[in-house]
Amino acid sequence: MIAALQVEFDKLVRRPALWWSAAAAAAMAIVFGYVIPYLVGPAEVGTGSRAGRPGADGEAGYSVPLEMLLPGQLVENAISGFPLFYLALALVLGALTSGSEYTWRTVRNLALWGPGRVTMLAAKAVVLIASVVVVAVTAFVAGAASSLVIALIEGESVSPPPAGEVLRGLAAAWLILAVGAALGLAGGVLARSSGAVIGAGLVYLFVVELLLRTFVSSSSVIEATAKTLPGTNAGSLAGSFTETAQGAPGVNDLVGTWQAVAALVAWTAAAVVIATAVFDRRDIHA
Amino acid sequence: MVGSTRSAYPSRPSGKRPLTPACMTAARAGYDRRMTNEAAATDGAAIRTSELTRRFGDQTVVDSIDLEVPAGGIFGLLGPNGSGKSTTLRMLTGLIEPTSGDVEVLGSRPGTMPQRVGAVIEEPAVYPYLSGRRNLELLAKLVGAPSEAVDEHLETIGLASAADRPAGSYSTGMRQRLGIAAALVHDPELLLLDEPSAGLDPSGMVEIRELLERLADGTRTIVVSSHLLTEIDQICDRVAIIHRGQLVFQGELDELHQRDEEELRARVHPAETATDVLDDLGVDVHAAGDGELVVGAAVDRTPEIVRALVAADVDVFEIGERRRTLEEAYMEVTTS
Repeated sequence: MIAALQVEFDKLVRRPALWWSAAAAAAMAIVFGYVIPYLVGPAEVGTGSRAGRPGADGEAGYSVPLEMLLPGQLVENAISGFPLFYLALALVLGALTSGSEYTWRTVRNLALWGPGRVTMLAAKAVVLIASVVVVAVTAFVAGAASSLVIALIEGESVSPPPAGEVLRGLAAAWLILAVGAALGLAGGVLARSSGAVIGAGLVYLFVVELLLRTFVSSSSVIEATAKTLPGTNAGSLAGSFTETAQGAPGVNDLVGTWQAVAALVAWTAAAVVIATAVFDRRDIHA
Repeated sequence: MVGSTRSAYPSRPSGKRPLTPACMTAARAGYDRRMTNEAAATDGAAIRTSELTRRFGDQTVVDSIDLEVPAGGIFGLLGPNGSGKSTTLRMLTGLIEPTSGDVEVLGSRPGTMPQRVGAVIEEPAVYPYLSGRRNLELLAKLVGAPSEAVDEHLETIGLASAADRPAGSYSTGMRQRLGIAAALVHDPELLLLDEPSAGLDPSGMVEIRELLERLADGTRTIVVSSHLLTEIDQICDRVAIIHRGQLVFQGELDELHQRDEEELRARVHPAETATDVLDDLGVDVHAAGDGELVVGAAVDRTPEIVRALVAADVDVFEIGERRRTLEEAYMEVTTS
């Protein structure tokens, strides 16, 4: 198992996809978390250079109060992007990690040289799920840097949030990414490719789950169903950190915090178990 | 037509070129392991299958194959594209499960001994973003092979100068070499190679052939699947021919070359006079083209025939037993 973990770690850290994912997370955190809201949002707090900009008097616009863009609200701001955008990013990374083994036919090598199919896939899942913490940390660091710059421009407080809150936020972010990565990994194994899984996964996250949640109030069956889904639970976990960002895409308060945590852990475990079982039993034609 | 199978097979004759000193150093650990594990192979057979069958839906791709590959030497698996060779190799490596039948590889279930079996199935699989060296290092780590083996195998297969380039930039031939190096990295006692010369230029094919001959060092068993008859003819001791999923021949290569009826081949001048002389001797004779005659006589009549031809003032350039070419034998076996 140790050798399998080392090999999977070596492969993943040398793979550009991981670092592109981290870079994309940083870019999204900066652009969508801070730059756009800062440029177009109303100045509800503070008296700095944003005072008097469009939207200040309740006009239509991307309504994010300035306090959300300051270091003190780092966790609240950063976590709001995870239930949808970063979850999708992790799903893509997971699908690439397993699916490309089929595309490149290297899945044969894992089966021929590895210490066993179950061990190999379990090692891949462990390394993948552990490595997405890089994406979470990158997004938080990029957010922290952006908020610091805005605070300095606006002359606002640069006090960071409590360390415990940051750690809880990172843990939640990592759990959201873990479920995305595990679902992508399982999809890659089931489909024996990455392209189809990425396409289907993005449609599911950005269309199916979001649409389903719009009908929650009209049907108890839909509500019960929605509450079990990974995107909803990721949104609820993110929502537990913020009230201000409840309107952010994917963020919701449908499920309690611990129920969301349990559901995300269950989804992650189920995805890994299914992927491993299928990989172990199915013929390898690649 | 299925050749007779024997319980004990001769190993490939010794006297092959030895592995390079560097390769020998790397191979030492694996060699010791091979010697220890040799007893595990059943009855001197590295591979044994019984009624091995694989179906995909309604299509039977491999049909009740009873294959026996003796330990040691190079064994050829011949057959046209789509005959079931690769599917058979996939079952032997544990990549796919048989629909029915039994398989024993080195006395165990396929896929349970990665340290003892190396394989290249169809085209080699590499991580394109990793260098050739890193690809091998990862596989070496997986099977617990010494890391020094990597550089030595890269040297052996002639990839040392390109070892640090991304494998994705390799040509087909370089990938093929890398695949073979990967299969060798843990110095396995059984090597399964599916079309090892695919994509190689003629000089590359010669190099691979020489490499395989060096690797068949008496204790190692190499199974080479190919549709290239000359390749098999040049390197294999024994062959099996698979045609439409069925095993239509297995046995010594010599058996294939031998004809049911003994014949001589003679290159003489003038051919017309020689034909008259041989008619007088009461043997069948016909022209085979290029000034050659095919003489329906056993080898032990050669002196008599030569004397008669020389006495009739016929120039005899060459005379000897006429063996079937592998191509002739193959066509005969697969169309009968």
